Amino acid sequence: MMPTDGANRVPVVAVIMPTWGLSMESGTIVSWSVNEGEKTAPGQELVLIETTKIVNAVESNVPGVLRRQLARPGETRACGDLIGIIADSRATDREIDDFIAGFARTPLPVRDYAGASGQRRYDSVELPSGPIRYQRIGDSGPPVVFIHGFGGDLHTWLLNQTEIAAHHYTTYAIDLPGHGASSKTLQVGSVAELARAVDSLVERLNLGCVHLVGHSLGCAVALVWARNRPERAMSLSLIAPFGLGGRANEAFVSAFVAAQKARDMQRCLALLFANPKMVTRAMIETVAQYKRLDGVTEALGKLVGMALKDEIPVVPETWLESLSIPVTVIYGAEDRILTAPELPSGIQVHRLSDAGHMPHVEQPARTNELVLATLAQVDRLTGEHS
Amino acid sequence: MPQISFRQALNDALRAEMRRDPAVVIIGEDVAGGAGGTGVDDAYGGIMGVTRGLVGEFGRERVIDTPITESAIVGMAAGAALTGLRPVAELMFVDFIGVCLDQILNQVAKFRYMFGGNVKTPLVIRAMFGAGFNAGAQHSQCLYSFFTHVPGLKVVIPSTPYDAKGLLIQAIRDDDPVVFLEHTKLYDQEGEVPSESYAIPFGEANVLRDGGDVTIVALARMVHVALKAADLLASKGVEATVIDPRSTSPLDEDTILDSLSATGRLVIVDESNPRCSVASEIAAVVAERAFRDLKAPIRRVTAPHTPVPFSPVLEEAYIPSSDAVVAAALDVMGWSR
Repeated sequence: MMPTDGANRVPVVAVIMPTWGLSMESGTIVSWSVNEGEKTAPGQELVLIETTKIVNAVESNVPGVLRRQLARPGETRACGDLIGIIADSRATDREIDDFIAGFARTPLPVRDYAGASGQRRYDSVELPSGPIRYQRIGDSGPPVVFIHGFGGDLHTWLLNQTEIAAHHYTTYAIDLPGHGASSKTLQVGSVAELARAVDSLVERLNLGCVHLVGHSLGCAVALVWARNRPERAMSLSLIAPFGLGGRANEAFVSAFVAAQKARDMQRCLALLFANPKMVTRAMIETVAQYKRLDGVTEALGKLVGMALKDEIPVVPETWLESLSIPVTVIYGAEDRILTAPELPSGIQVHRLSDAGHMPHVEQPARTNELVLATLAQVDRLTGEHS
Repeated sequence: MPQISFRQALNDALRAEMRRDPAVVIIGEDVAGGAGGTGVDDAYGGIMGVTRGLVGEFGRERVIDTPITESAIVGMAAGAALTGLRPVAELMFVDFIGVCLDQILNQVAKFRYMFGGNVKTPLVIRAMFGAGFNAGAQHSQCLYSFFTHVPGLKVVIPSTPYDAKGLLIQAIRDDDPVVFLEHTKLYDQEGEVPSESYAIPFGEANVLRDGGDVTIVALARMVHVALKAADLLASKGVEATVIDPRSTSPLDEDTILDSLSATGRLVIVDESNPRCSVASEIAAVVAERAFRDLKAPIRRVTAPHTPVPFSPVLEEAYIPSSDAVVAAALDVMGWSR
């Protein structure tokens, strides 16, 4: 959304099809949460959008009245296309019509990602164990490494990575060994093995000190890496963390490994979210396609046998208590996969409502805010990031 | 993910499995480049070019050209399978399968059963099928109901490049005989296909579209006809689920019944002749197992009970159209009970 230039008297604001992640080219309207003519406030959910990967809400960022819905449920629009109009009630229909007509002729606003021109979509580093894929977004600012959870891949950060990068960070979302487009070969499948892969990637890319953002099993990996490389870890943002306390829901894990048919997968994936409707056909198909790849069944089996059975906490509590870097824990109030851990008092814990095991997907705006605040604490300390 | 054609997806699957397992061999007419001919190896790769480039990598011991004799191709493949190889036999057109039907029906399909499970028959028979090429009545049929009828055979019919690769890999790794049917009009279709190997289990339907009003089940090229029909229906306010069973033996009845429990209306699109067809089988399963869910009669949209016409105009009329699917769906929408 962007306010019109110089429209002091009557602000007319465009609601546009958002771009969530680099691979999104268009989105389909699922439903409008605000009717035409109804008032809307900042933070209020305006419209649900379905992409090939996810269903998510577009929120209003201004007060006003939703004057027009320009796309109906079921209709698809390209990213950046006008899908609605917010204005105050004083704006005349004529002014809104003019705005719509003018919008089509105006070059679309392109989101200003840090160093967008130099960014690459996907790349990989070759390790002795095989390739590790990553996606870099942003060319300037301190490096932030995103580590997904069990059975996930770098696309889990669809709603987070671009947003963090836009605040001038160089972001790297990786596919852990056994996942995504990385090598499916695991030696034993321990957290330590996954952490070694992260270490090799950080070395190869010459990243120096990094911020770490983890989800679920990715948090255990981040913690073990940070303990091995205390001089390198600048901050830890741990989302629905595995490895601090509590076991993963075994029914979920075994159902995830066993599920072949779409309907079994749907039931299983629904456990990840507070709202089971977040599980789209495309999401099911993406997971099914991953699970069919050669080597994945074996890799998941090893992870279940080793990484998920690792001693918990994966790092000594005394080490955790002595940490001097910012550590933020974010978890969903309705998490059905992990129970909230008991943590040392120095750690900031945020419990997000209307979120299950995937708060970064279910409450991306709030999660991104908390992650950015964690990153900013370090910037204030070091002063290296303007 | 790379965008490749259906043809290339099949080629990728064959190449990957031949690299993975030295027991995989290819047998068929001109699969190498013309037996005994002086032509350039690999230039041809079978009538549709699916095996192009394989003889260069794997040699004539593993990519074997045969005379024009389907009975020899299938007989050779059946014997090879019994001795521990994993042959992929290519028949040019499925229409020619009549001359080797005894070997498929009475030999290949029965070995495991009659030898008390002591032998495996890991054999794939690939063949092209379907109308739309003005190729006449002997080169255009959909004979999958023949094979679906026979216990001991698995029958697989992909509709997309992604499915073509994953299902062919599964077929080659399967220890039972698999009839793998490729629709003539799909070879040039493109889609996203992972470069890594993957296997799609048989008996797992693909749901290509979700809608709460009517369930449309379709195979092969008809999946695309059904998807177009679903678009047309959406513009009329009717939301269709489109299901591709991908294999007719085994058949994923559960996915169809699940959808039926939500929609209560079923349209089956089948390019085959209607009598004793896969469409009839699906209709029977639903009538038997989900009668309570049905809000309207089951409708089959099929070819007529005639040979495929040679006349392009008549052939076009013979093949089920999206308009016919829309009409059937609107008809079942008109019922209530």
